[in-house]
Amino acid sequence: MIMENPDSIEQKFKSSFSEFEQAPSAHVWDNLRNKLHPEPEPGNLWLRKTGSYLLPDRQMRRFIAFAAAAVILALAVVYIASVDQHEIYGHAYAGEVRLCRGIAVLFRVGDKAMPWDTLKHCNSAIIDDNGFYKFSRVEPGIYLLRISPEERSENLKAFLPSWFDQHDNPDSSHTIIITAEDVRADVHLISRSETGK
Amino acid sequence: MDTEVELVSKCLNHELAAQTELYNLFASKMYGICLRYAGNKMEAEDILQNGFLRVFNSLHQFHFNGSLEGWVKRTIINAAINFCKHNNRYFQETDLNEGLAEATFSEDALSILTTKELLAMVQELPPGRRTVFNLNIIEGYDHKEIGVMLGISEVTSRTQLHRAKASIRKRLQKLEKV
Repeated sequence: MIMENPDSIEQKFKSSFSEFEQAPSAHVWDNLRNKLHPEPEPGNLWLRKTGSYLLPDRQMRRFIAFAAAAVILALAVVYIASVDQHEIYGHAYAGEVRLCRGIAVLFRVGDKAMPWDTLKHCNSAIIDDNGFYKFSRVEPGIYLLRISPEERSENLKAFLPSWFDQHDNPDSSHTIIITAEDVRADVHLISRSETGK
Repeated sequence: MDTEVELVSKCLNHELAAQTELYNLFASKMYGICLRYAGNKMEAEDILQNGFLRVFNSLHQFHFNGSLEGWVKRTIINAAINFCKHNNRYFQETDLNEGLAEATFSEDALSILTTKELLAMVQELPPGRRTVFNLNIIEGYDHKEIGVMLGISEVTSRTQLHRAKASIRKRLQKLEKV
């Protein structure tokens, strides 16, 4: 039978392809999956070990990675800053015995030579029952130290507030120079009876 | 199996299991479509891969106004059209007069053809004719819509379809003689 009706072609193709389906090769999905969830670089193997890739959300993983980087950066900054900081510590003596309670005051000196007339209060510390004091995280520089017995104490009646290491005024006081190491500075209070003050 | 809403939601959340499920749900049907638009299996797989990549990347644009399958199908067809455009193979006819002569064939020759053989016929068509033939005959778009989709005139679309049918008739006639 001869036919010229073009609709028969349309109908044949349409009916044949309406439900036509065929399974694609497995590698199509493999490629697609790799594009959707790229494998980490070999250098990032530790991320897999730490289980970061078990987290379901990519944004969450990014956030955690960013937070971890920020913490590491902050710790590095703190470490670098602390490398250049030191301690000034020591004991205060009232006569032959250690001072029982008082205040240690640290001043930073702006001058390079005497007289020390550009003092700037830096920090204060409590002197404990054993006469011990300590200033932490002190930056390199030149410092003066003043020790005062506790107010209304017997020591204050007997001893003057004194500058390191045994001076009654800052002009003649010894300086404490911080460069690359911690410094121990013992202070001996000046007896009032000796000075008559 | 998850509902479509749950499935889409999980895919939007970039969950691999849901993406696998969505792919497995439609892969065979969409590959069937890709085979019609492509010249061979390799091209069809490329279209399918790019099409599904677009599906997952554009899933937020699906607002459940129609069926998910319909939306995926349109996305895959767009990927197929883009594939042809990208490869700059539209309407590069080597012989513009080829297939224009009317050929006659018997209904028997047409009726006994399997889907596989029909597919081979479609794949043998030049890309421009093949695309228009698919969009008009199988998908049911009219020439105005096809013109917009392909960036061609309505007349060009009609001409491409006419040539596609003429090519198929000629092929059927050849098969009949064999």
